Amino acid sequence: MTVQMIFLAFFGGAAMWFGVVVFRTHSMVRSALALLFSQTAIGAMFLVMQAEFLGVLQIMMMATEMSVMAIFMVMCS
Amino acid sequence: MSILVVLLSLAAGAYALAVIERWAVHGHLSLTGPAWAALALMGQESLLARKSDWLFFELGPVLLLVAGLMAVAVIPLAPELIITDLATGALFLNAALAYVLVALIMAGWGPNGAYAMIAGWRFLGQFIAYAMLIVMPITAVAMRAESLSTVEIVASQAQLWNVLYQPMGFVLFVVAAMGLAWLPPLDLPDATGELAGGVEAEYTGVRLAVLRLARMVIILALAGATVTFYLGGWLGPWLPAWAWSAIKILAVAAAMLSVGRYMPRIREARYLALSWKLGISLALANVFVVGVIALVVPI
Repeated sequence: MTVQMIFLAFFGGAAMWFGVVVFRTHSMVRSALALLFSQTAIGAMFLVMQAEFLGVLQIMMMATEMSVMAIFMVMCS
Repeated sequence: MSILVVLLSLAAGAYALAVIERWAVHGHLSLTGPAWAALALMGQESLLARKSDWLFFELGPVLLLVAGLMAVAVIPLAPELIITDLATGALFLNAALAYVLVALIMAGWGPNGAYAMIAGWRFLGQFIAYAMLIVMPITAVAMRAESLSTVEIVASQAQLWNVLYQPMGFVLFVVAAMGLAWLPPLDLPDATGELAGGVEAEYTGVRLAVLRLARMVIILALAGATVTFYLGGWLGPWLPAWAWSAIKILAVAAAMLSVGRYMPRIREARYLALSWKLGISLALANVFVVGVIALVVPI
């Protein structure tokens, strides 16, 4: 139980930290990929909470979506 | 224990693939060639482009390697010889390989060079083409096995291999896998002679060695996935299970590395049109046919 809590806190912290990085960086691509890693950390939180399918799905979907978003951010800025 | 065995066989497989690729490209077989090439890369100066995004530049090849290793983790070499038998193994494989795209975009954006950047974004376009054709054939495979676990999928092929049960899905999956591993004729991100190496153009030294190793690992993972989903994994007579896995994976990887070299490189617009208009219709038809067969004749 405690190990689960530690991992949950770690990934939760990582998700929040990357979420802050999205607004702190000046590079559009870095911003988009920081959002990706924030979402991936949330996927890892699902995995820690033993919601395996949801976690793997989150990790898979976000990789592609955020990459597509990155190119639109670069093209439109 | 099985982690160590899988990693050692992975290293041996990656070396064998490097030998085969040199054979396919240069036309002569050299067993020590890749070792000397790797040593030469280790001794080369690692250049860093001016005004580069150093974080992406360093992280790109490493993320590529990690994605390949994660994909290998769910591929069974024998009934017990698998790093982790996840209940969602087939989906996890997709999730891991989705990060190939992220790694290539990072490696393309990082060095602040025109060729590399074009190549990185090009791979995003290529991704739009192959993504659906990786996932939809796996759907049909999972429908037959009634499970996403890779071990269950291999066990479901005891009567008849999936390559005979759903040949259309096999062809679509192999072509899409070649797109994912950017093998010729779908090698848009490192189009030699057009983008001067593309993503690899600005990499030198140890970083280039990691990039090439990661690509070998990804090709092995995709060959392993093809064998697991369509060619009956470890199943086969006389020989032990691991030997069948090794033979099949190396054969599929060698075919993927060498066959496409005799075709002209495809333009990305044409590749996208073919994938969406022809490929996805065929993949949906495949899902439908497999569903009907699975309901009518359960084998």
